[in-house]
Amino acid sequence: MFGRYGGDLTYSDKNITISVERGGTPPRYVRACRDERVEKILPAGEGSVIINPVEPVNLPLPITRLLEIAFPATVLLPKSERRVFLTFPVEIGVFLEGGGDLHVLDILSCTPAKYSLYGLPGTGQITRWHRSEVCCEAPVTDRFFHGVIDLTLKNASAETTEVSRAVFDSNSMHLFYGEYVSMAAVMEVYSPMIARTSVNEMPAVSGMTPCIELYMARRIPAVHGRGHLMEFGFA
Amino acid sequence: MIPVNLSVLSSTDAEGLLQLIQSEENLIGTASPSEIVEFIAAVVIAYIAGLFAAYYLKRHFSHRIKKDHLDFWIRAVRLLLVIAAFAITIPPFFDASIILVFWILIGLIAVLALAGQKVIANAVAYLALMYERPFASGDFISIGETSGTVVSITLFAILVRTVRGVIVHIPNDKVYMTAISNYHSNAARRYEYEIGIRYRDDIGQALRIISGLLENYEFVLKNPAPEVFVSDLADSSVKIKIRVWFPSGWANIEDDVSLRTYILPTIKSALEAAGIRIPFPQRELWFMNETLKKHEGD
Repeated sequence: MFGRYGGDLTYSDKNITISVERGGTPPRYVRACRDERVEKILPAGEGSVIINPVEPVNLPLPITRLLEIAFPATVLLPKSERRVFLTFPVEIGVFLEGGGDLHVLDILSCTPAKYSLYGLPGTGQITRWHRSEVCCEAPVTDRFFHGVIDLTLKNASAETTEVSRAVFDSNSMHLFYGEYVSMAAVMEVYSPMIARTSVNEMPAVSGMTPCIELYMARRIPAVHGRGHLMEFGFA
Repeated sequence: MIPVNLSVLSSTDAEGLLQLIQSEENLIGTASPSEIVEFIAAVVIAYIAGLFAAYYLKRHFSHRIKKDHLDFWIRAVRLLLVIAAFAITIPPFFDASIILVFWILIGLIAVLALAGQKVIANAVAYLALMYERPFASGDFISIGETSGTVVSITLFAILVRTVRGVIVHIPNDKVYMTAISNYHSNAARRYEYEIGIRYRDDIGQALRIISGLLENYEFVLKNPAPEVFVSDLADSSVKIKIRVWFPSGWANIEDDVSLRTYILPTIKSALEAAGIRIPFPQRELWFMNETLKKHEGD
């Protein structure tokens, strides 16, 4: 289903139904997912519909731009590095490209959402929360439900430390899709309370297709490459 | 003081008056009539350009930045344009007569005096509010008996839209001197609910059912974790207290209807499905004659 469609599109499985009828009167976009149905009238004429994974922080409401992945505590020795694979929830963006513009037509997700607070109520930040197992190689996932983060954990401090959560900023996410949805990220631990996460601009595996991110489609100015500074711990 | 020739004044038109003013100790500096016209035109053009700039900024940035930030930038741009117009056209007025400046100052003082202390107090309170920033546009706040969403913060008052859709103007000095509750400034807020179950119901089962429902509700935060515990062994029921944290950005009204409409009915239905009932208040009454009969029987 992921890809660019210049004409009609019909996709249906037990979780998602998407239909684009460009030749209809009027042209119509219809989708159903998790007891929710969306129907929109499309403009007639040229234009493409693009469907790809987007930053998973928009549903059910865009109240945060942070994604928090909780996972079993992983021990890192001082000045060491470790590569792990985690899962993250997938949200699917449907874009309409035409007239020199890129419009966000719809966002849907098959995975139930959960929010959390990273830090204290007064100073902390709301995050979209997801629980993942730690794998040594990319786990097999349903690409409409879960993606895979290829995460490199680096302990730059002089102390052995335990890491059990990572917080990513959606404004610097770079997603790719192929057989599965993926992003490659780095989490660098500076001290027992401070770490920085950043998402690489390159895919974890070559040959994957880059996704159109929402902050690009919405023309939201984002600071790329700086990642997110985790100031409230990671254990 | 400059002696004013009233006979000339009464017989001259506006141009004559201008010539008179210029002839008397250079009242408006070295500005010629054309420069005065330029000055007025520049201010008008700057004002109109400011309107266009505001329209442009609103059109291109209203969906990207917060409303109060956008309002600030619009005001700043408009002010800069007017200042620029003044800076470009005002030099000929710099050597204006001290008398004109004196009268302008007197006029300003008179206006301020007429406007009264209240206006000044509101303007000063506005500056204090801008410095301390106890709330921003879009926040849900309570000031005194008024609760609502802040629509805008102006020089003299803040505009609050209540949950009934009524716009309330609250003077800035009152805002500054009153206790303010901001329900939006923290990332998360906590709510408490209490429900009662019968004494013969399984407390552990009730706690498990409620915890499971809260876990499945996306807006109940994972961390801080919800707390569900027996808070009281009351007269008619075992009281169970539920403490949950929600994102302030979502639960943005004081007594959030959507929380109650989801959580409380869902809990009631789930408990009833498991055979757990929420009891009515009960009281056992013993009548004296029955007590006497009971003792006589003994």
